[in-house]
Amino acid sequence: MSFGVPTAQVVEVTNTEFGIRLDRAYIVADVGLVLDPVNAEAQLFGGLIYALSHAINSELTYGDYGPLQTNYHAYEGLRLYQTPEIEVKILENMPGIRGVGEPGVPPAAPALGNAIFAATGQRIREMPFNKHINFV
Amino acid sequence: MQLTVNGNEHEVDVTPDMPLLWVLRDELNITGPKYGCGIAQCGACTVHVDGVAVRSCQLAIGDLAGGEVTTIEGLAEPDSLHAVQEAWIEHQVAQCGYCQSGQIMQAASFLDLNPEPTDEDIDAAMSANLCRCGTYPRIRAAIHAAAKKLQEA
Ligand code: FES
Ligand code: FES
Repeated sequence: MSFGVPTAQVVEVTNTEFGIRLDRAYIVADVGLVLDPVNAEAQLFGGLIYALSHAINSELTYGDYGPLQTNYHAYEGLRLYQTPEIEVKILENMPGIRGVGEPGVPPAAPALGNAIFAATGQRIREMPFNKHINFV
Repeated sequence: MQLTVNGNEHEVDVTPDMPLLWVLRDELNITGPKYGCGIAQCGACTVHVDGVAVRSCQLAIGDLAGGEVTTIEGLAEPDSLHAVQEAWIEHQVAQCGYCQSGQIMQAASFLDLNPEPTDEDIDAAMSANLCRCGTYPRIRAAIHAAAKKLQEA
């Protein structure tokens, strides 16, 4: 359950000599009644992309009464060249109308962590993952 | 100081070190270009100077040197959209929209230089434009579609 929505994600990576490359990602979510299929899809893959940013490189640390990362030079976020090909499948079995903005976020880091484990044998247990492994 | 934006001449009373983005937004009330970072990290402020994409937060108005500025407001012909804008609408690229005027201006200038881009070309040209909503897959698709449209035109 991801924010009340049954959601599953799979991430596929390649362990290149320069670091982990994200190849493909799959999302399936049962959001109940879909009101706008085109936007629902965008919200789900947008959630995945946002979450991959946090899994890979976005960290806030605090000091001086606020976050130390004051702008995007220190808080990168995923960029287009890092974005995998993404396939989204939306199911409508659940009762009611459920949220679609948040459910794409929580499963992404575990899915990426599992993919990295499958590719390298390395279990990463701290985010962001770039503290422990390089990404291309 | 004088500058031409979207074909209109303007006279502004500012210091030459004011970034173009501030002149556009605060002096001329042209608010399509957005302030995202102010330090060339996000691309939300992208406009064209003589047809080429530049980060307007990084260009001091004193360095404009007579260059003609085009913002998202001036990209279309008066009564038809630019092919990039059409493709963007067809693919429903925008989510919150904040980054999108910058993405479109970057894409339009890039397609001008490279009318038949590969995915790798798109990655290279568009990766300095951040989108926190993660619209990247549709940006890629819309650029390919716009390239086709421009070739057929
Ligand atoms: S505001 Fe100019 S690049 Fe971010
Ligand atoms: S559409 Fe929201 S930041 Fe790009």
